[in-house]
Amino acid sequence: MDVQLFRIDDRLIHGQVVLGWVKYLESRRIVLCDDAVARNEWERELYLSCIPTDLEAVIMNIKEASEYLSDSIINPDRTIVLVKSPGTILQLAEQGFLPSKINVGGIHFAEDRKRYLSYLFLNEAEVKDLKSLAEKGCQITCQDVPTGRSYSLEEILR
Amino acid sequence: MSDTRLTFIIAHSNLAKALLNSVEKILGEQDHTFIYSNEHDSMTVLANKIEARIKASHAENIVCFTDLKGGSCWNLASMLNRKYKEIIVISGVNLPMLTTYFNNRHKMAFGELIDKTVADGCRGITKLQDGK
Repeated sequence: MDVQLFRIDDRLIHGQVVLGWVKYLESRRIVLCDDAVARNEWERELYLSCIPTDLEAVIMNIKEASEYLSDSIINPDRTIVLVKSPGTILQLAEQGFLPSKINVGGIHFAEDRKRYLSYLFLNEAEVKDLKSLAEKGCQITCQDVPTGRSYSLEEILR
Repeated sequence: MSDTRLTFIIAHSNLAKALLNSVEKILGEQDHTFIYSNEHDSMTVLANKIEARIKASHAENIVCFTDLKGGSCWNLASMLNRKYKEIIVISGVNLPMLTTYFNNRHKMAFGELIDKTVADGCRGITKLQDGK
């Protein structure tokens, strides 16, 4: 079974996710998958500090998340997975887990990135990674908030 | 070190700009105050801009107002607070707290100023129903 939302968002746990998508999808769990956050105790605490009491949030490194998401016994229904970049999903794929659908929710401005949407700026490596994921069969769409318009990857990169 | 009280407002969309504009309509122009939106920049880019201001100011006391606790602006401010001990982060920014802050910024001891700012921000939220 697929998770409700498998999302690339460089802000990880923030308002759009906790107040927007969680309420819209009636999610019960957030899985934040990021090696750097997982190994930094202070950052882990920061991201978990504002989770509402009716929501569960867990932080895993790529290896742990791959095992967790590949485990057929765990029911990932009502779960949102968050990663910072498409590169993280390629690493998950190397570990054995590939999501069927990917939501690109936000990658913001930096010097080496080009603008594609108001919330989507990509450098060459990120474009290449997204294309690799599409070639592996992932269905990739870009949408920041639940009421926003959804754009396919082809439409964005055209 | 100087006793400049450096002030940042970091918020969603154009809220920080609108809040500072509103404060300035009431109290007049404010110095050493910088506003940021999370709309365009990655958090790293935004952090670099703010850190450049911090380093240039040599301020001993810095206040960072943010809107949503747990949102990206607050997450960023929390990271800055961890790195720079002189930064105090206040979430839930509203006009009552800002008018108190800017009215007293150069008049009160820093600790008292912060306490009064937060208290007046809370006091500014009330309910009026059926005339009471």
